[in-house]
This record gives sequence, C-alpha cells and structure tokens, in this order.
Amino acid sequence: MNERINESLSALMDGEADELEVRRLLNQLEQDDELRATWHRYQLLGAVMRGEPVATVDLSRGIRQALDGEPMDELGSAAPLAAGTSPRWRWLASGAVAASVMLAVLLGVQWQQAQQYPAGGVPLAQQAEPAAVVEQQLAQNLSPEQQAELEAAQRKLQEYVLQHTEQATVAPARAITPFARVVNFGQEAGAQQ
Amino acid sequence: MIKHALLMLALLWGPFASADGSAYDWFDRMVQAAREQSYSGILVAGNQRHWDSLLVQHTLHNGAEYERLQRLTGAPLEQLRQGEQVFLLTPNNGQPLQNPLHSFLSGPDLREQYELTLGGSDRIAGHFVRLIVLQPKDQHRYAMRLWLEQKTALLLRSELLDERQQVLERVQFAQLEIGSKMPASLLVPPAAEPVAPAATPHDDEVSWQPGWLPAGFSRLTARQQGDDIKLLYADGLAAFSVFVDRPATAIAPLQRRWGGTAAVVQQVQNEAGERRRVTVVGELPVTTLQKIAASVQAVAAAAAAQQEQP
Repeated sequence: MNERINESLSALMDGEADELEVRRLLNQLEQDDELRATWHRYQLLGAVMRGEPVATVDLSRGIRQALDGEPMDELGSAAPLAAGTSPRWRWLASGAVAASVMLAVLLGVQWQQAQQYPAGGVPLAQQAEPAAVVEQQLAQNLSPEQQAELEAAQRKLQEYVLQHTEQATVAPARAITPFARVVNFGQEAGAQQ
Repeated sequence: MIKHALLMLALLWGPFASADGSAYDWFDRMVQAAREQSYSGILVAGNQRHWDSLLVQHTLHNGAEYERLQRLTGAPLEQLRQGEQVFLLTPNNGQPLQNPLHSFLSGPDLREQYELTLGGSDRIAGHFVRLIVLQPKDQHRYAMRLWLEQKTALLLRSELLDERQQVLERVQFAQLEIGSKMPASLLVPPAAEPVAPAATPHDDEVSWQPGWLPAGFSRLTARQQGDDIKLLYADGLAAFSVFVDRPATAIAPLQRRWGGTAAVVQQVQNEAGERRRVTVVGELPVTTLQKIAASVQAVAAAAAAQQEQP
C-alpha cells in the first residue's frame, strides 16, 4: 500500500479529504483487503481517541450514501445486540428489560461454563462474575445449537417471570409486585407473539 | 364553661389523635383508606430504567369498589374494576393491571417480619404526608417506605429499598384529587365481557419443594403437572414463586434482577441422580432467592431430613 493512499485515508478520517479523493478511496477500499484492514484500524483508533464506543459500524457505506445524496442508515443501530440479532436477543436487549445486556453476558458466560461440566455433574450456584466481556462476541461465538438452547432458556425464564407476576398479584397473595415491570413484561411479551 | 372547655379540647384533640398513633395504626388505616376513599390522580411508577404513568380513579359505591386504570405511557390500556369484576375497555390479551398502591393487606405476618416506624412529614402531589418505614427484621427481604396522606392515610408514594437502602422501585402520585367521585357512566356495567376470574389456587402434592424458606413465608398455591411444579409463597408483603422442571440439557446457573424483581436459575439433583431445573422469581434479594433455590429437594428426602431433626 502506498504512502499516498495512507495519507488520503488519514485525511478521510480527519474529514479533510475532498470529495473526489473520498470516492477514489472508497472504490479502492472495496477491492483492497489490506487497505480495508487499515481503514478499520484507523476507524477504531479514531473512535478510541474520541472516547467513543468501539463497536462501530462500517462508516464507509454511510459516507458513500451521503456523497450520493441517499438517506443515511441510522447509525444509532450500532447498539451491539439490537442489530441483526434474533427477536429473542432483541427482547433481552431492549431497554425495557432493565440491564438485559448483562443477562445476555451472564447467560453467554455461564452457558459456556456449563458446557464444561461432565454429564450429570451438578454445577454449584455461583456468583455472577462482573462481565468485562464484549457481549456481542459471546453471542456470536455460540454454535447454532447453543444459540437455540440459550434462546430456549431465556424464553423459559421470561415465561416464569410473567407467571410469577400473574399469580402474585391476585388474591390470596396480593403481594407487592413492581408495577413498571408488570407493564413492561406484558408489552414485551405481547410484541413477540 | 368547663363543659365548653372540654368540648374545645375534644375538638382540638380529635384530629391530632387520628393523625398520631403508631406506625401500625397508620398502616391499618392505609389498607382501609385504599378501599374506602374516593380519589382521582396521575400515578408515576418505575425504576432506574423505565417509567410509566397511569390515570387512577377509585370510589366506593354501594359497598363495592370501583376503579378505573388507564395507562398513559406505552401501549394504551384502560380497564374498569367493578367489585369483583374486571373489564378491559381497550383490546388487550394481557393480564389486568393491578393498582400498585392498592395491594397491601394488613395481617399478623407483616408485624412479625417487619419493624414499622413513623418518619417525618413531607408534601406529595400537593398533599401533606406522613412517612412510615417497614424495616425487615432479617436480611432476607427488602425494606419499604410508604408516604400516607395526613388526614385520610391514603398511600401517595412507595419505595422498595435494597439492603444498602438504594431505591429499586418507586410509585408516586404526581397529581391527586381526594374525594372526587367517579362519573356515573363508569358505575354501570360496560358493554365488554368481564375478564375471567383468576383460577382458585391449587394445593397439589408436589414431588420437589424448597427445604428452606425465610421466616414468615407461607405457601399459597402448589401445582404439579407431570414434572412441572409451580409454587407461590408470600409473607404478607413480598412474594416469590418456585418453578421446578426437567431440563433437556445441562442448565447453567443464572441470576438476574429487574428493579425490585429478581430471578435465580439453578440445577439440583436427588440421590438417584435425577436432575431438575429450579427457577425462583420474586421481590426479594438475590441472596435469598439463591438460598431458596439451593434448598429445593425431592420431597421424600425432605421428609427424611425432617425426621432426623425433630
């Protein structure tokens, strides 16, 4: 890769490249794997330096759309779990189910741990580790079968929480049940059916 | 003259006597007020992640409670409660809403498990209120703070607190008119069909159950269908459910909390090596749920253990 392209890339990242240069670069990016890798490194570096979340989307498409006057994709959809995931993940990732990303992380981490137990072994209750892991990677690292089992486990848990709410609010229990959650779960579950 | 003075004293003393009293008295008056008072207001409820608001109208008419709840955030939902019957006035396939400030019962259990103390005064939704604090006597449940309107003891705000006194859930009136009657049109049955009443609680013999419960919790329902077991326990304020099923594969332990509600999933097995998935869901600290889940055992084993320890 020549120096000039590198300089152009750098200029693009800094927003200093002119339009022709940008178009040329984008075309080259499409054909050149090595150049694309450099571009991603630059992007990551820039994001880190600006203190932005690193789970960035490919900006090149957005840039091209902007140049062509097309409507931009919503960059906000870069939220790690919400994009391109199954409805179940979406349920977990939605803001309504509080801190659900953590659930995904915990399920992911602990599910993998469970795979290491010998058949018939009984895992002991363990404290959930503070998960300093990128949740999306965990979800993606699961095989389709693991993913399906994970989703089934989540579905079951959701069903049980709903059942608890239902039976705890009616007589004779009439217990205090957090109102907000009752509403949210109902809505979320309804949306999935 | 003396007669007049006594009358004056009685008149002066009257309101103070009713406004004072112990925290327990306040609690009992609150339970009664929730049923007997007429009011209309906007309720805001939520936790750190999510808030909802709700229009609440309530009145006592011919000895029966009438209550209209209308959700003002999210998917529209309007329901009318006339005595024991609930009508959904908007299409909805979910469960009826429960007025979050209306679900307290006064009972002896509560007094054994919680210390009730009177706190200071404040002002909520334009009304002067008195604070009562429900502090659990052990570490197995959450504390609550309740703010009651000075004259009527209506509950205007409630907070559920964890062991570090952090607020997990909060429900509060933003606006409230006490004494306002519901329009007569809401006192006649609507065109809609009433929601089917909740099924009567089961009391099945179950093959697996917790060997340990926090003090004061009693079993309210028990249902077993095949290998699936569903149990509900309450202490007069908080409740938890235990679900036992036979998992298809090895189960990973899991714990989650949403505001005041937490869930724990773990696997247990009996002496014959039979595995079960245990899920405990409730408005209790995660540590309590874990302890309950870990104690779940086959009933035969539980009986044997009890015989060993008379």
